[in-house]
Amino acid sequence: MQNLKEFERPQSLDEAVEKISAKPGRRLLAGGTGLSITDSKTTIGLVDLKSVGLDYIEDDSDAIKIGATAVMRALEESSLLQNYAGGLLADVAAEVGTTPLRNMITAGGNITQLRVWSDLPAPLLALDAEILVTDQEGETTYPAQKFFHRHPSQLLDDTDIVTEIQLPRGIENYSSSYTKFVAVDDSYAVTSVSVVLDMEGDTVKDVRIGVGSASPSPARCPEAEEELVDAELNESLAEKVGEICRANVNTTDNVWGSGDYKSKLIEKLVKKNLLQAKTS
Amino acid sequence: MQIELEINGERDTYEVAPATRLIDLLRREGFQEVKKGCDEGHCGSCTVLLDGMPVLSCVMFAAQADDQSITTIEGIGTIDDPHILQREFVDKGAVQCGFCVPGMILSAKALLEENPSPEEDEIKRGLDGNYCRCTGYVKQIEAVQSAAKKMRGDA
Repeated sequence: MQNLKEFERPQSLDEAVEKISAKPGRRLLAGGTGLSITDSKTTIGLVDLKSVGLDYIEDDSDAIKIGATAVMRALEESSLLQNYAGGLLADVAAEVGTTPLRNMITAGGNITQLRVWSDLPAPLLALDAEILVTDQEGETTYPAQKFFHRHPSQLLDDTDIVTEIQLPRGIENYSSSYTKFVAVDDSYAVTSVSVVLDMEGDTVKDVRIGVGSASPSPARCPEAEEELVDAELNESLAEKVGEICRANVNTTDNVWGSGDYKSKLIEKLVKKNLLQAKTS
Repeated sequence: MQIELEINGERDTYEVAPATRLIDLLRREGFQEVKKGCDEGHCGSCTVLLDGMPVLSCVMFAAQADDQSITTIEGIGTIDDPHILQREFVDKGAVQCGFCVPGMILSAKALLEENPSPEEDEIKRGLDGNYCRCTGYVKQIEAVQSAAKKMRGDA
């Protein structure tokens, strides 16, 4: 960051929009855990979002609203999130990084940067969340499927501010299950699987499967979900659906695991989490 | 740019470049009890309390802490008058090389303020950001349990 000369501290969202749009070379700063150790010659200014009032988690009639600068610790401890869809997002946040990092890493940073610790995108896909983005023209709402279709940096301009994540009403009482597969407790996910499930007796009414860290962008498994709806969820179906999901997610190699290994993980973890969500 | 910090109870104004990270400001200003280990957010030796919450001073800009309070290990006790946690770490033999201990005790202090009677699993979780490469964490967990008891007045 040898060319970094400015540090702006806007006190409102309007002021943040103005500051980030004022000059090229300015970047938005949320928790800073990624940016503070990034070497960038082109960054000449930072616009710190700390004081613009986006650190809320609110219950609203049409959605649960998570402000972009709410930290992992707040998500983990939020009773609203603990009671929403089996507490999926609180459980996910609780496994990001370590205690001091969870005091720093923000929801907005975690979903926008798609770094190795970005565990939120896949469960947000499974929850059909929406992402709100503000720029000089106004506010745009993106369904998670669109936001994470490719890397968000391809969707967003440098002047776009991710302001809020909205979790839809109507799925509060769904059950869920999550596995972050790691080498040791606080290392990065090799692969994660989130399952969100609604059952009537043994029959699946609605289901969403989100796969994280296995491919460049997080993935849903629509083919697997279709197979499950209106079917009786038992061990053999869960196994079959795991195979379908494995076949439909294009995994890639990284330092944490080969694509082949991640594919095998997807098959096993989808099965396991479907059966766990059924009994939770 | 100028920022205002309250470090270990003393408020002062500091001149920093926008790119300066908090750890580098603290060490430059003489707070060398804040240790620089991995320098990229993994090991926890640079942990300080920011408004009472443990954070890693190596992965944030100094300017992000503007107008907030910072506690380092030297802010909670002295050699003559150590904090209960510091005394218990010594008494239980929880310190070998000692490099991780400033950060670890600060994490433990934040934990005990929130939860005065933590279970063993809760202590492990509270200290999960502080790596120790000498010990197996056993004595440190014992030290936190023992300090918790004394701080509650049970022992």
